[in-house]
Amino acid sequence: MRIVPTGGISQVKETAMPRESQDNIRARAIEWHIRLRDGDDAIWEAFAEWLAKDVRHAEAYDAVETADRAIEPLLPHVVIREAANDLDEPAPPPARRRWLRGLVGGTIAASVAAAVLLFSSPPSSRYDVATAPGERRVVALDAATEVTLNGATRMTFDRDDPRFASLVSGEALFRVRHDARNPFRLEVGANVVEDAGTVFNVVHARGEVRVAVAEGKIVYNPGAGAVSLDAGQGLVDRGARDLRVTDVPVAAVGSWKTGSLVYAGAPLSRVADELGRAIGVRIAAAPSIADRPFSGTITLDGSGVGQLRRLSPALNVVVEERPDGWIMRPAGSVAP
Amino acid sequence: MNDDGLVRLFGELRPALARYLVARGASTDEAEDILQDVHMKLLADDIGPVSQARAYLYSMTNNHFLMHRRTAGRRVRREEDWVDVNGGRDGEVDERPSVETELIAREQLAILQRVLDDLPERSRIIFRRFRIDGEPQRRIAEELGISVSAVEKHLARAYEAIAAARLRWDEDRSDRRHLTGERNRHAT
Repeated sequence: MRIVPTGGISQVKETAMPRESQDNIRARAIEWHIRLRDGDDAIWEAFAEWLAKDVRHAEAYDAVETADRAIEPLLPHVVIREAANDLDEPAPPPARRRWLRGLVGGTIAASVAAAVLLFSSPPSSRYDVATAPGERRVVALDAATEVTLNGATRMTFDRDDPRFASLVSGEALFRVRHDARNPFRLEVGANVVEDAGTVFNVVHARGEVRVAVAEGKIVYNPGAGAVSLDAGQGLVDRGARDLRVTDVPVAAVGSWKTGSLVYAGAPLSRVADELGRAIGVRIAAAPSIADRPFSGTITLDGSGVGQLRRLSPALNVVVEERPDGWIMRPAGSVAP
Repeated sequence: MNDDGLVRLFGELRPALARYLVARGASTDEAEDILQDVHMKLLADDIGPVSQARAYLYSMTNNHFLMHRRTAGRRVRREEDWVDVNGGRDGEVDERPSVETELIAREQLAILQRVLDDLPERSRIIFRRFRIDGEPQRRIAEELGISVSAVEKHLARAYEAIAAARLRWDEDRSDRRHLTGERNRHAT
């Protein structure tokens, strides 16, 4: 077992500054930690001053920072439950889900919805499959239905229902046997993708759903407001009626599976995300360039972070390693 | 501020950065080593204009401090491992996660999941946007129509709960997995 020694909060100096309680110090340390992430000059200098004032400050800050870093490798695997897209529950009909989503924002309504969902958990035949960043996994649901999970992805399946899957977060490629009487249904947050004999790719990240179809046909959110997609089409759904259908090159659909990433004007934040999933590290694009479009094909050569460095001129960025992952910054300029 | 300016500012700020490192628990020797690394990096990298230059230098110094401590921790463990495996050479250390570390990781994940589940929904969502999606507080505040300090209160609540859960950090875990090709593991 390998555990890094962490600076616990010392009890010895309890009497040094009796008016400042341990709880108080910890609360301050947490505040600093939150502010520092995007902190400006004044915040850093005030923090340095606070830190030097009392050794307990440094100890408390250390504990908070260590705790925050401890969760880093776990974060890709946690499920952030939201009333509108909690996926461990029996699937209400899509119309009701949208109704729930409409209520989020009204705190009382949302907590009522959360309570309903929490207490209606069935004796579950559902199970989760999660991949670490950089890991791939193939789940065969039946002889002709196969789901390939990209890295940093979490899905829920059902032992009793091989025609059900839910993409909690991340990206997966689906090769689905068509059965008109019993269609394959994929839940993505509050949305449903229903196949009509198909190979398709779905990404669920940053509150956005992206679907791309390589073969056959799918129906997105069947029922009123359904959107049909044929091979060579895709859609981006940002919620709140912001849904766009686009053309996608068929060869690009799920191309990550064979080690290439194909982009036509994709925002850099997405390129960073997908590279991270493929390479197995956390990569983010600095906010100033997150929306910058990128077009081109990246062929993964298996050299991981080494390739990231070599790619940076092509992406017109500089990459920098931070304790919590890699960040892409605009080439030739730097944000703190 | 251009590149030269940043190096010059680093020179001016160096004593303050050294004090910062010592306050963070580094010895004066370690602080010197870390600042030397930062200095080299500033000289080597083609760093463009920086708006908050002092913040940039502090945060860079802090990152180097964390990396330094992490390397130091790993070195100590490797020496311990060396004794444990009774003659195993450095390059032969088994990097695969042991059953035990896997179990610990699973247990840690369950603890974190419970901590997050127990948070009020709004705090949980704000925490996700800040910590997982990396959004700045200001943007979260604008989109939710609340004040930045309200966002901060939600985040503080989440961090209180996480810090109280005392998750342990097995730092090798995060960089152990590499993409080595497709795993065709079938599950049903």
